[in-house]
Amino acid sequence: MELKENDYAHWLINVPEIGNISAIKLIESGMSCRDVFESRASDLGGILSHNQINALFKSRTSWDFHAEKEKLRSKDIRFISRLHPDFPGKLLDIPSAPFGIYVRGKLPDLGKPSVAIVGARMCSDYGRYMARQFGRDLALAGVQVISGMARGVDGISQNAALLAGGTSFAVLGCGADICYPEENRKVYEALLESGGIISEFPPGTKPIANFFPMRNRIISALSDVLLVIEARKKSGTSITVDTALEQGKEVLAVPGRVTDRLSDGCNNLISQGAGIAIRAEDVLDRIRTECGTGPAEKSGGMAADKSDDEDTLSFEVDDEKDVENPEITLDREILEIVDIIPISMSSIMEELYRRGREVSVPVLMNRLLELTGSGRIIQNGAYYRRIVG
Amino acid sequence: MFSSVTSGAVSGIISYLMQVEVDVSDGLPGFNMVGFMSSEVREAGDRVKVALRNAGSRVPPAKITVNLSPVGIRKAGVVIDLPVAVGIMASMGEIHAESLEKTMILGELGLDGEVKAVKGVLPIVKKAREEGYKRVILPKSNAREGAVVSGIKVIGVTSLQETALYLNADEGEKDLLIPPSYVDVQKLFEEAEKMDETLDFADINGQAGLKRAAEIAAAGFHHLLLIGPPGAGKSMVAKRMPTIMPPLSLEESLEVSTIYSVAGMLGENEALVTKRPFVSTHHLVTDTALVGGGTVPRPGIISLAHRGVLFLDEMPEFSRTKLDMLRQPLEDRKVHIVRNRGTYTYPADFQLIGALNPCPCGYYPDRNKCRCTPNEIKRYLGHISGPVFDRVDICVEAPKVDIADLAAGSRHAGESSRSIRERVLRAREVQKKRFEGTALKFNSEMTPRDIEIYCRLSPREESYLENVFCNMDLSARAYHKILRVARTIADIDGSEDIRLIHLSEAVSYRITDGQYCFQREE
Repeated sequence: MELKENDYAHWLINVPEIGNISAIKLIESGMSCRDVFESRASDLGGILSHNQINALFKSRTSWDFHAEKEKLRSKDIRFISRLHPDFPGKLLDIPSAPFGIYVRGKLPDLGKPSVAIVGARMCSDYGRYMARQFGRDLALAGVQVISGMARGVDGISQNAALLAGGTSFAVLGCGADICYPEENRKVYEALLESGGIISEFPPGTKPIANFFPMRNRIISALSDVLLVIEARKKSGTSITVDTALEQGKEVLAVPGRVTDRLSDGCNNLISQGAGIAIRAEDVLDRIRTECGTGPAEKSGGMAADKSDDEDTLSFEVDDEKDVENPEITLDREILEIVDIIPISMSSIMEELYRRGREVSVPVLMNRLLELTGSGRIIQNGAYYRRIVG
Repeated sequence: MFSSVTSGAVSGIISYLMQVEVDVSDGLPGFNMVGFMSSEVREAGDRVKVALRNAGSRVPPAKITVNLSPVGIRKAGVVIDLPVAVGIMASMGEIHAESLEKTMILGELGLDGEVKAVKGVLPIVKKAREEGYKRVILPKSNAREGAVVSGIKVIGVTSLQETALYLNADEGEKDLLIPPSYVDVQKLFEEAEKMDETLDFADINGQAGLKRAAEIAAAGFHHLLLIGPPGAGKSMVAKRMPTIMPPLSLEESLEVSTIYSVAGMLGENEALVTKRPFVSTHHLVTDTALVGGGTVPRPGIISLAHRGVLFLDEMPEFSRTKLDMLRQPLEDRKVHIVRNRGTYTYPADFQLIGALNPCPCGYYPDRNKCRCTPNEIKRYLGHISGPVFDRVDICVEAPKVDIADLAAGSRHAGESSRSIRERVLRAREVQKKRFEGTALKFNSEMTPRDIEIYCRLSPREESYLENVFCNMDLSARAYHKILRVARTIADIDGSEDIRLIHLSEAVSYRITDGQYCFQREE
């Protein structure tokens, strides 16, 4: 078997005691990874510590190139060191850059714009909705969505992007062969189809809390713009924001209500000068100014907005026409209450009651049926919500 | 000399008659009790001896033998003080033996000869009447309870002396000495009706959705689950449930009273349970207290809720094993308690109302307050096992109440329990007519086969349900539940057919179906 430089690089980064910094130092000293493998202690003396050299020599004898290569191949994972031509240029010059990455599926296309969408794991219905909207609209505009495939905002936005036929990439804090959290299994599989899974940890690495903040720098580095959907004041998302700013990336935040604790992070970012993202178009604009490259096609996001407007428009016409008709005004109130966030029948009743309108359940059911029949709202199990976009 | 006194006892909830045979004969003085009894029953001997002496009757220095027949039944938790005392007096000739004919005697004795209340009077007196007894002598505080049984003379006594006096009196004078107790059952029920006014659905401000769900649950005897944050009024609704259920019928009242009588929970001088039971328990209840049992078997909480409401607040806090114990009673409407001394069956036809928070902290999906992870929520709700969830037809969300609304005060009173109950009664009437000649009583009891017969849908409704079925990813069981509830809603509406509006309302009571906490996660 012929061993390539990349295989030696794979060995080097897997030597215990040697991390990204030491490995990069070694190759910057002019040695190739093969040179390191064949070196003598005196060659390395100036760069590595005594311990590291011992570990390196020990691993030289125990490392089985063939078996390791086979292991990667069986798991369909590639190792790409920073010396490899495929290595994403965006990752080369960031602070504490990775020496190499493991990839399952594809790597982001550097010619296309990419946006990182991040946010709270335990997000609100609002966050969920916004994540979905942005994920979908950006994907429709041809933007690659990069995120951490975590529970909540991450997974939802990636899922939405994939469902819209876009591409998305997940940077994991565990081995690329492990799907964590398990509930995002569907997203994981879809990512393999149209996107990729990236990790700097060797396959089989278990998800450990300490590893997760580390991947954030890769998420922000791979993207052109960082979009924060929803975050608490102190959260993992703030780490991603910090790394993005460190890397000189633009940060956009989706505003929320001041009283919502889950919007504190975003509102805070905005007050500190982050850009405001209200719709996908805001993000696209920022990408254009950032990299001078327009997104492939920008009609998608706009189309969604337009239908939104139409919806509210037709609905206002109704108001003016039949203010007198009590049924219509009841419909109007129901439509005000039934929003993008699914709501149960008993909650609609309570909300109507709060507005001083008392209706019986059969009357309400009747209206809800009509409204679902005419396509204004949809019934999803025991919950109702507005149709948007 | 030998004498025999009839007494009675209960085993489980079945009552039986017992002969207390006493023989006083020459020989080495002593007191001996036989007849397969537990040690606490044996203690009666000492009490009786002292009570007799204090009542002015001398216990003779003779060999006294007491036998409890039939010896085939183990007597545990049985009180035989008064019959034994009367038996000894009869053996000594202090009481005329012929006055004991066709007479049953029940009662516990104090050391001073006072007669104290016993448990299980109602079923025992009923048994005595069935066996053709003419008269029962029992503690005065139990007299009203016994008097509910018609066709038998119930004599309440307060002391041993009084009992002897009564038994020795001439037949004609007896009624003058202690008039037989009498209870006007009709009047009892009327009074109960009037007393029912402390709790009313009108007390609840708003929450029309919950009230409606309660109404449907009451009409079709569906089990009900209320899910909502703390302070949404879940317990308020549950507590008012009995006020909209049909009043207890005499037949039902006798069943319930029997259970309470056996459990010793009928109050002093209380004749019958006339109000629908509302029993709530908290999650640290022991297994035995919940389903019944114990060394002297006693009905558990679920039997005390027979024909009424069993309210479990904070349901996921109950251990899973406890909730799973409810599975069989929910299915069979009675509970079998199997012990090595025998099997006891208690009725347990209750309506389950469970209240629970949507997550451990109680505030999901309000993410301002709730930081529970999806897994935590899943685990929390997982305490309630699928089969228990499966037996609940109606699940409704209790929306949170704003403090501001409470402060605004009741703008106006909501609908009163009385008018809700009228609709419930009407719906029950419809069900009664529909299920005439079948074993069914309520819509909730319909099997899938019955549903096919009684819940025919027209094509439009069918296609709607099919659509829901696919969208919600329902199980066949949930499908049937929707139909059962829709049937009840149609009955309340007075509609022969199940229409779209009934179906879609029934669907809105299925908030736990599919993935309750994840269905909004896309």
